[in-house]
Amino acid sequence: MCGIVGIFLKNQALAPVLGRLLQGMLLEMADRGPDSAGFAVYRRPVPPGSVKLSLYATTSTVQWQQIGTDAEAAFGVPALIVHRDRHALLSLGTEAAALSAWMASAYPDVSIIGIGSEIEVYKEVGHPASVAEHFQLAGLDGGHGIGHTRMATESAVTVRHSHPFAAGLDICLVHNGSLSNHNDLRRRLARRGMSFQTDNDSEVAAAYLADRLGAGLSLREALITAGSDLDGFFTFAVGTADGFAVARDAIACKPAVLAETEDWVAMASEYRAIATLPDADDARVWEPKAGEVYCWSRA
Amino acid sequence: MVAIDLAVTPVREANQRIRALAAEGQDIDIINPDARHHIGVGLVTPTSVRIHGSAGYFCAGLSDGARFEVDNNVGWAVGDNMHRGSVVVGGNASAIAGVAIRGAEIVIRGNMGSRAGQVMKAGTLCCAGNASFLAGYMMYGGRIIILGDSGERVGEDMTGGTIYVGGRIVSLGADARETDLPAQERLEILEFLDRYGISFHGSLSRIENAGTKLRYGTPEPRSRPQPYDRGDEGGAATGYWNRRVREDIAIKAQIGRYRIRGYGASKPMPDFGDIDFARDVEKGLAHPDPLAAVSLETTVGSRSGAKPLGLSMPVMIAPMSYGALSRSMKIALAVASRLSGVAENTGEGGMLDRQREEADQLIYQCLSGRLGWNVHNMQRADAIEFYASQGAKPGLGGQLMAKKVTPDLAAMRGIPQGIDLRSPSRHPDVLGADDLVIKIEEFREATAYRLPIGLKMGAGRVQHDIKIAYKDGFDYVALDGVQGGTGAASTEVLENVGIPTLAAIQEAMDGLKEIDAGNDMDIVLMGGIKDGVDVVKALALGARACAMGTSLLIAAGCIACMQCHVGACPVGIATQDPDHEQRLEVRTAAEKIHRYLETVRWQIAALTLGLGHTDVRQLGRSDLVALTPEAAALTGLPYVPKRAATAA
Repeated sequence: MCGIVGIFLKNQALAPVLGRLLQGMLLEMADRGPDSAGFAVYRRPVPPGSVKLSLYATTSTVQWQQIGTDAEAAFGVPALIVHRDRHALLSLGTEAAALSAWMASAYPDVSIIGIGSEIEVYKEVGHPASVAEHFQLAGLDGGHGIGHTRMATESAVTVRHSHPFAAGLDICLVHNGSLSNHNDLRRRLARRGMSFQTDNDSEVAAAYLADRLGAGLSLREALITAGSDLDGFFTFAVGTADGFAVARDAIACKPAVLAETEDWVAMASEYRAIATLPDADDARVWEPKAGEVYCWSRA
Repeated sequence: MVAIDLAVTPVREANQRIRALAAEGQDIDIINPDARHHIGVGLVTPTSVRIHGSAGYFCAGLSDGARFEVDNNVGWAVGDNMHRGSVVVGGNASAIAGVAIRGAEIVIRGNMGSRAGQVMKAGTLCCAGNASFLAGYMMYGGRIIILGDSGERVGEDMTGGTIYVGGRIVSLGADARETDLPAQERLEILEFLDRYGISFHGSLSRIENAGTKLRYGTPEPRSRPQPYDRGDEGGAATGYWNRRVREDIAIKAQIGRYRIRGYGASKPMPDFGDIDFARDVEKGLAHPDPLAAVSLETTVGSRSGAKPLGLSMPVMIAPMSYGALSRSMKIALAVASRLSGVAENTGEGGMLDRQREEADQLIYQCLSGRLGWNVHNMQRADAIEFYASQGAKPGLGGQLMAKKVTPDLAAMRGIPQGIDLRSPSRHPDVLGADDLVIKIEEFREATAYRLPIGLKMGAGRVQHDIKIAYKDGFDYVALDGVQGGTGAASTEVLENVGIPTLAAIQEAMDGLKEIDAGNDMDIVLMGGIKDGVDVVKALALGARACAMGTSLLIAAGCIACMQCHVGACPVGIATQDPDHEQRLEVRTAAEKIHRYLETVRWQIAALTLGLGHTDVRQLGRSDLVALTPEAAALTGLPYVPKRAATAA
């Protein structure tokens, strides 16, 4: 039960203000989700052969610099760590799988909430305005981003329960809606080796996507099979390294609006979020169809 | 022309100014609307409002008589429930444009989103571009003109009204069919288009209801409900296949569908009889005047700062519709509510003038079909209740069999007469807690933030739902357990879907405790509340007040034949047949209900006093024990079976 937004820049001249645009949209969705907020911004790729982790520490006593030093020692390459309170970005020249395996064993209290070459994930409890302020979203540049404001209805209000949920390398998902078969699906995915941090239905949707993508499906194909495998109602926005996608359930229960200009493509739960964007009045605006998948990418 | 700038004026303040300016005869320009929600909601004075930009949800919603123009796009539910007046949208409309309109003209120059015109009753919804899927979904009347393509499943489960399509009919919905277009109708449409400056020369297809789903097929034979009793004949073997089971099978073999009846669950489930008071209450019963010794006055619904309902005791009348009940019975309940100083509730289907005049305090319910729902009645109500579901049939809409859908009742509800009315199970504009926040805000705008807004909720997964209700800002929750009555529902649902009232209140309290909600959101508990004894137990478990329905019908003379759905109530309570209705004399029925309510008052006072309190708000869990392991498990009360021996 939430508000979701996404923006994808077609005109890279707007890249320096991506964070400001995303923040404007996110704050319009605060009424729909006053409990917590989160966003993913795709920006500043690390060099090939390197990986960027978005980290969240469950304890306040975390020593970020120590983690950086330990990672350098473990992998024998320089690490870059940038942190703010319980959140940090760790970049290192190694394989994603190796680094996440090392993190899990060396620092089990630190969750990886985003992983890839471009993705940076930020999420925190509290009003979306204070979350955006906390992470200084307005100052972030980037090529595209998605965001989420959450009204918790069934599971708890914590950072771990907040969106976006990572679903593989450079992939993350935000969800507005509610799934009915998530417990069953969670068990089935767990048997296939996926691990879960929460009882949240949206986390299951993200894991489902990760599993399907891992099985070789394209993002579009995975979102189409989601339409039959996920029981319930949903509007998803999904971010990838070079694009973003929007999908709705078969009867389009939750609101969604898409808009496109020469400069950008945007998605939001409500039009008022899109109205904050430059030249929104001249945009082509439409309601995405039920059961349809919409994808944009730079390729 | 006076301009209001939404960049500097909040919508709530802007709407107040719009009303004031309209009253002075001024036209209004809204600048920098930035797709704000609720622009123009609750405006009932004719005027012109020009919105220079885009509007959000519920633009011109719950309004009557004004002309709105929106230069750009609109969000969900433009013109919601609008009576007279018009909205012209220069750009596109999002989902459910023209939802539940009752006569207004809504014109969309661009495209419109899904479910346009859902549950509309009268008026015209016109889209110059293409419609999305399910246009005309469950519409009851009026016309939809789509000059472009129809979208998928146009006219799905429409009951009445007409849909005209200029472009391609992508696919027809269930129970919709294409027919010829009479020349006269074409002329009327062209006249309408001309009036809004839309030029159109193409051909039009006409879609109407096919009439295959308006009535149940084979009628159900009349029968008295059989008791849950395995020992009726010939020992255990036939006891298992007892008369009740056999009758059920035999009737379904005949009619080929679920059965329908009135009243709530009848199978044995834990109830208030399974808990008892923790101490002897003789002291209270022996007191010469408990009413003078105990404070009973109760307010409900002050959380948001609205004017709460003021009750002379923690009791109100449960929501029951004019439709399920006769007009005479609804008026008798209204009179009794005034005599006893409690609140009456409209239930589904609208407000009667006499009911409003007789009741000092009247709660007005909004249901999914928006039957008899309008801004004028909202503005003369004392509280608004958003119905999500009821205890007897959680998750389903109301049912009213054709015999009860009289011309008068159909006109009030805005539906065709003589159909087996099955109200939608979902609200068109609320598909989750996030949408609900915006819906409640619309109600508050329409009533100037003056009235408490409550949520009527059938007990299902109460522990989760109560948290949503709290988060959404309701002033109170009316919580209804499986023992709650109904005018008509399928027997399977009645007996098997809801959860016991006793469990419901406990889950509600547990849920609120989980989120540290305190006690500022009042719970009104209902669902089989028989008397003051039940009320005191409910209050001790945490309810602020109780609502009574079935018990008051019985007080008025109901013989519990459970055939409310048939419409031939022998005592004139649950009927629309004038010959039957005249058997109920309003004054006599009102006095019986009033006298019964006064015994309830005495019981509440005497028992509260007997438990050692002087105010009903002092009642608490320590006043109760559970008599059975089941009741102890449901409520967490101490299991004290020996109280059962004393009580007996």
